[in-house]
Amino acid sequence: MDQFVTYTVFGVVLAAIYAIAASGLVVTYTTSGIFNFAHGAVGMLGAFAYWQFHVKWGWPTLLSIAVVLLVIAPLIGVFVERVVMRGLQGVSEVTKVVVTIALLFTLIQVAPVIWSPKGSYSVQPFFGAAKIDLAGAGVTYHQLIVIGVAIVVAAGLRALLYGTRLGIGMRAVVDNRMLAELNGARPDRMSAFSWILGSALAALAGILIAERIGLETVALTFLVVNAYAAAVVGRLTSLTRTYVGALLLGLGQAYAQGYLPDNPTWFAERNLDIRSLSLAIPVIMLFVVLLLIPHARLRAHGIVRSRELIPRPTYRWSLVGFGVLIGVVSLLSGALSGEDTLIWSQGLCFGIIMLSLVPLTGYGGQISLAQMSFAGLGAYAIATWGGGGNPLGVVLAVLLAAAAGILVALPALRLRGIYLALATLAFAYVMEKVVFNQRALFPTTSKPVDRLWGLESNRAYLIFLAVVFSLVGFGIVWLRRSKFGRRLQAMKDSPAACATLGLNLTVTKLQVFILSAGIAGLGGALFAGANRAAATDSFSAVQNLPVLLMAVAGGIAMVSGALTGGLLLASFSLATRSIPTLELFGVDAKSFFENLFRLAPGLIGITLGRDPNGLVAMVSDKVKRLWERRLQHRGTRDLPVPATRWQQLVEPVWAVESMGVDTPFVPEEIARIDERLALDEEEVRAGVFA
Amino acid sequence: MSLLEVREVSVRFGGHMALQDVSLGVEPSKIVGLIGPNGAGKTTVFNVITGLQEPLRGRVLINGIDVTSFAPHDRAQRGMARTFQRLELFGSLTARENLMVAAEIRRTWGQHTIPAEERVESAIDLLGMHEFIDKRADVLTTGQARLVELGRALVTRPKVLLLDEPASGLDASETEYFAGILQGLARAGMGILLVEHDVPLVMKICHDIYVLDFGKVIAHGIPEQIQQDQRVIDAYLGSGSGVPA
Repeated sequence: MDQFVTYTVFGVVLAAIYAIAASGLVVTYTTSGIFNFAHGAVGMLGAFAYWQFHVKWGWPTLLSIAVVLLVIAPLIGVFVERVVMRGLQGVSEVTKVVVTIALLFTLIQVAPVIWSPKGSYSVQPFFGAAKIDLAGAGVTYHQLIVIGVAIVVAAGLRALLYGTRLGIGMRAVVDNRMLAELNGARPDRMSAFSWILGSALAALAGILIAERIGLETVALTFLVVNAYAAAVVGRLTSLTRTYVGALLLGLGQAYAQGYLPDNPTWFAERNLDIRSLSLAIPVIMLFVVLLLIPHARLRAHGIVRSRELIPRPTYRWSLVGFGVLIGVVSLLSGALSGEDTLIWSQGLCFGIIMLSLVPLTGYGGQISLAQMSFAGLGAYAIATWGGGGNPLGVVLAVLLAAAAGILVALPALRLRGIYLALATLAFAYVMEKVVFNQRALFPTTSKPVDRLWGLESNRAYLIFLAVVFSLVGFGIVWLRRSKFGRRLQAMKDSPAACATLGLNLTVTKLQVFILSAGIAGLGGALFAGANRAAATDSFSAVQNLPVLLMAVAGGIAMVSGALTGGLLLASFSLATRSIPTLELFGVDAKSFFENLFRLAPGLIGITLGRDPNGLVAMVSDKVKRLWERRLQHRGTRDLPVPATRWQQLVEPVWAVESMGVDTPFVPEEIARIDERLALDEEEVRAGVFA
Repeated sequence: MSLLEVREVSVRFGGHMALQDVSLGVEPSKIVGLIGPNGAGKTTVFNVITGLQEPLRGRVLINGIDVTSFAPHDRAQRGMARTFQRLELFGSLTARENLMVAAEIRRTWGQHTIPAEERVESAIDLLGMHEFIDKRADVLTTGQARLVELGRALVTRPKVLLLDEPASGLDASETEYFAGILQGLARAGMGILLVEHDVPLVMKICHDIYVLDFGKVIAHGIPEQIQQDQRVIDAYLGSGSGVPA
């Protein structure tokens, strides 16, 4: 009985922390429409900041918490809102998600720069080990405080969102930003406030849980997966149901830890460890909930005028491009050192894995955060069945990854895109924590791999990879021009119209997801071949982030974008390696540059809101504009710069202009309108929400 | 048997009853009008019929088969197509590709004797869309976009066609031409359910009219009856409705 009470209290405490974290997620989502994947990372930074003030500098507990929650977290929130999120008007959901993922990745990389991974960090529970007695079990003050805080947060949020003008304004802004603005709300201010609130709640959760799980960057960041699971119970919008979800999750985890038996002998004999399954409880819950959520209601939303372009390459130019790629690789590879060849080989493999995202994300608008995990399955397959360069290994790599794709996607595909992103991130987490660390699969953290057809020379393998990239890339160009490609694009533009024309959306999404997972599996097998080893840490959950980020940065809807993304990733690791040891102004410049390159994918990803079409499109657009300018008026200066392609698409449709007003009002006109409407200046200035 | 039958459908949005026991039917070769003031629930009826909105109660039948529990694509595959009041074109595709996608989706089920391209070309001819057919759909004018939506619905060869304010954005001569097309489609056997605010158009081409107000059918009959109905005049038409003979 005592034990049961202890586990229950422990479960409720976990639930309280998940609930606080999840409600922060829900607040930002309901008030800004952006699902913040970096939420856990903000919590992680909050926990570290608390350690800095309280443990390192010895500030009092309350002061430290106050500074984190009232100064640091709001600053992060304002920064995120101002610098990152405000540029995201008129971009697709994919870009919004990718930008928060870039933020997540950046924060994960920034933390070790400030708090070196070599140091040891720990925080003590509030009031130490002091406890009270509850039905024979000891409950610490820390635990009581956590539960109390969760209750206060719940009550406070409810009162804010439903009972105050600010909260109602925040909800209004999400429902219809323009209408709310016309009624005097200030969307920017509301949005900034919701990010501040979300960040503070994340930081609070981070501080409360740090004494239990320790200050470890990735562990704290991925805690958010648990919060996702709770928030999904509330379908990302209901706070009450989010709390219920958190409670189920917390208790489930506590009882599992308490009552699950040790690893049974049958499993132990086969080098399988089922205890790690307890780590997967949040993910299992996430999947069960996803299965239970009814089909997403399709909504008609009018024609979406997006800034994003999906080029339609011609076969001729694609062939020329692939020919150039193979030619250049063949020529240059002769001049590269063995190690450099290896890094560029990895880059091409990343390129192939990124190709898997072109049809899925670029054409179909579905986001996957598990491509490296599928690649890991491919690597496992080639290590297991590809001995002696047997091509069967590659075939099985593709099939195994594709089969896993079906398992992940089936529950999520019936729902909106954001749920697929969540499900794939959760899957990646389980693959890392539960599957890839089974000794039956990977006896050590790395498994030797024979290269396909015994291509022992690094140069030959690099050229081979360029050929494979070209073949897969050509397949994707063909797909883009095919019926299926058109259908994917139609599905991205208007799911409602597709369904009412008779298209089975779930089947279509499943087809493209299987294709994508299969390509990722192929890329993984080739990647393992390049390294001559399938190493599990190459396929950890975090590894998925730079792959998605660089694919989008290169250009998610383009084969050339995938190539650029892959080669950029390779060049970062090449650059990191080749920085000489140097000191500038007494600072270790080597580690500064190393950190910079490590941060690069995140920093590039954050800027995507400004041009969601990626680097390749940006460069080709700039070249084209310069060229057109030269052709039009040689020698004439001060010409207006031609609009970029997306400007040409977007600018004619500003709402006011489409109502027939094409010049802005002058102050006299505004005054005249105010007079007609019998508004006095005071009233106008006061607005409704000011 | 009716091509399309809606039986006592009710829909609730929170505390608001958007539809209350709405029933209507569409026969082959008939154009049925669904009119009423803004907010009466006309688009909601369309959403219930096509499966985009789950009703609180009531049933939808296509060709006598109860499709209430069917997904939108299953219903479409039974021979139904619609257009949207707020246009739902595939913005990043050209107008022609919009039609091609629909024709290709149509070929994934049922028998298909005529190639997709041919079907698309005949729709372009029928609706006179040559001028803008290769432009991206998100830069078309409203009138052009409405034609593309109609064309896209037609290439799926529906037995019953649901049109949500298809004439808004068309000028007088375009409307005239458009009326002729709808009458031609009906003569060929298609059943059409038409939501439209252009009352003269509705009165001219519809065989049967339902009037919706605050989520309820307040009148049903042939155009002449509807024009005389006092409740309809009060709720929607007004006394000086200017309906042509």
